[in-house]
Amino acid sequence: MTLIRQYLKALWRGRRLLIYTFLLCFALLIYLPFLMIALKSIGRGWFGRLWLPPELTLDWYKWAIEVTNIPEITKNTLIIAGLAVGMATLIGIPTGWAFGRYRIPGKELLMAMILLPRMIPPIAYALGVAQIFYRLHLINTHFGVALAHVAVCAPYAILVLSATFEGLDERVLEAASVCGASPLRTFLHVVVPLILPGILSSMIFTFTTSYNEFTLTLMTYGKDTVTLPVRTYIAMGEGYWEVTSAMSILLVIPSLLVLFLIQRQVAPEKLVGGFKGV
Amino acid sequence: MPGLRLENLSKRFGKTVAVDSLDLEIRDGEIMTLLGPSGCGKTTTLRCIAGLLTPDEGEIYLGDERVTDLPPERRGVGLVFQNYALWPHMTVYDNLAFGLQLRRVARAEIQRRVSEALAMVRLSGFEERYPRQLSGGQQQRVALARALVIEPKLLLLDEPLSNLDAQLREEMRFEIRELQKNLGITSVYVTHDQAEALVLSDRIAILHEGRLVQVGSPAEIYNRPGNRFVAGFIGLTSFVEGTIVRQDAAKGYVVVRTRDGLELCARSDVLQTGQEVTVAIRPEHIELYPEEPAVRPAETNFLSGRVLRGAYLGDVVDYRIQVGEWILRAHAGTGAILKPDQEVFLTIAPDRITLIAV
Repeated sequence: MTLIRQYLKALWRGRRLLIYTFLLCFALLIYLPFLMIALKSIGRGWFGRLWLPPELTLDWYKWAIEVTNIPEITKNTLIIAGLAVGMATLIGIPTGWAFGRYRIPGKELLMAMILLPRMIPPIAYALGVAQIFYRLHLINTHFGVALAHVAVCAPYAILVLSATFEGLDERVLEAASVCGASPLRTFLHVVVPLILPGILSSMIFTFTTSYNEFTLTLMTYGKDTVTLPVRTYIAMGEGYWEVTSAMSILLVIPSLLVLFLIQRQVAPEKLVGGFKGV
Repeated sequence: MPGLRLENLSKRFGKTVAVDSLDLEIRDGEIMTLLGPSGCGKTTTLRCIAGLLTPDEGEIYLGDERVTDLPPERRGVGLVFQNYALWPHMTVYDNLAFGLQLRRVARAEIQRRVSEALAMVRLSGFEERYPRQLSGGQQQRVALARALVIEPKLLLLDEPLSNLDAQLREEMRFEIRELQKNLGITSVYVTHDQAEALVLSDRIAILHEGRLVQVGSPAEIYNRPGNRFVAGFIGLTSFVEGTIVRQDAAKGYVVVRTRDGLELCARSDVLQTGQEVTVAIRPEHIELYPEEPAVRPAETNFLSGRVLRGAYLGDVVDYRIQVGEWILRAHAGTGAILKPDQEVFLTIAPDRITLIAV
């Protein structure tokens, strides 16, 4: 008993060290793979046995950009993401408005049905999407791939936007109209500034979802609609791990940019700005 | 010229009648409180006046102008909401300036009026703050300044103090009252808090189930409640029921006898023998004696009863006393505390008793 007690006491005294060790392990778990890819993409003749690559090079990036036509693929990815964001937002605004601001019988059930495409295994869902798209000749079109993405993007948009609209206090709008603002002015000067952060964060979320989407793209893409994740997957099959790593790093850059945007987004008044002049 | 006139105003939501043919006139420069329990239609009435609701029937006149069909933005009234409803994305300055900018007031004039309004609510120097950086009381004062800065013809206040803590609430009552008097602005104040209504109103309109029950000055409402509902709603009241059996026309007194033989003398010039009445007695109007006084005070009601229980309230003790089959509440000083089951003697001055015809 005393031994156990002494052991526990020692643990307690060293708790700070324990916590740091745990956090370090956790960080390694998350960042180590990323670090491996980063090193692989700039190293030559490195197979993970040495601590650092023996020779540094940017050749893999050159390869990745030249051989795999990155500009074209990035363009595809951005067009598809743009279309998906547009469609998801267009669906999300009215649906989110209805969910957030009206009492709808069976609201929970409806919400569950909207979230369903995110619940079932993506590969199974993608299989069904592919079968339908082949018949409708939507395979290998930007619109088709984007439409497939909407199935997973729109639930995000609806979820985020219904929360945004639910948080919009009716009395704040009434205060504007009593104060002398016509419905249009109320919309422009009060409604828009208050919902804009929500719409932007919904757009950012749907953008990253579409940008990183793999399974649905794999089942609906063609030679004209190769996206970055799919191309990375193909490069892996070709056996050039260094090039694949370089592409992965390139794939990360826009996601980082978006993450940066989200960080700023936390302070809405910086994004929206005050109301100056009518 | 009246400040505001409501004629036969009615508003229904589905099958429930929220406001039922309400007629009310608010004088120019007066502050009137719409008082009643929740669901009495007071907020619905206020929202109709503001234009946020369209009445099903009736007319609303602001001054001489009929505004029944005007949208809220063209009525030129100021409204203070219970939850303040400040625009969270605007600074205090912008919150106040918005209404003036909509009215195309010149920039320099806007600056002058905004700082004037902020000084009025003692918030000078808070121009660049956002509402979330202010305390509840400060937000409420900004809301008040925002309603006043447009120099409205009418100021509407919808339970503006109910989200504040007790001490601040009491302070703000006086502040609002003083502001209203200084500006001489016709105001309608909605509350369910009778103390608030008594402190800040010129007149009180009591609403019950969508209907107007009584209108009068705070003293009138308190001392001469028009019916049992008003008497029960404003202040504490004990009720005794009986029939008028005698009257002394010369002195203006009547005697009410209850079914268990209790007799109470009260002042009334209008009620006749045979009339069934409810007798309303306030706890502070009952004097308690632990022992039978040697000399009975003349011209007063003298009763005996038994203490049921007492609640110590700090300044007074609130007793429930069984008199015959009735239970009367009485407030007495904390000097000698009466015990339950103790016999006690009560006197009630006839002038202090309110009779309500049944």
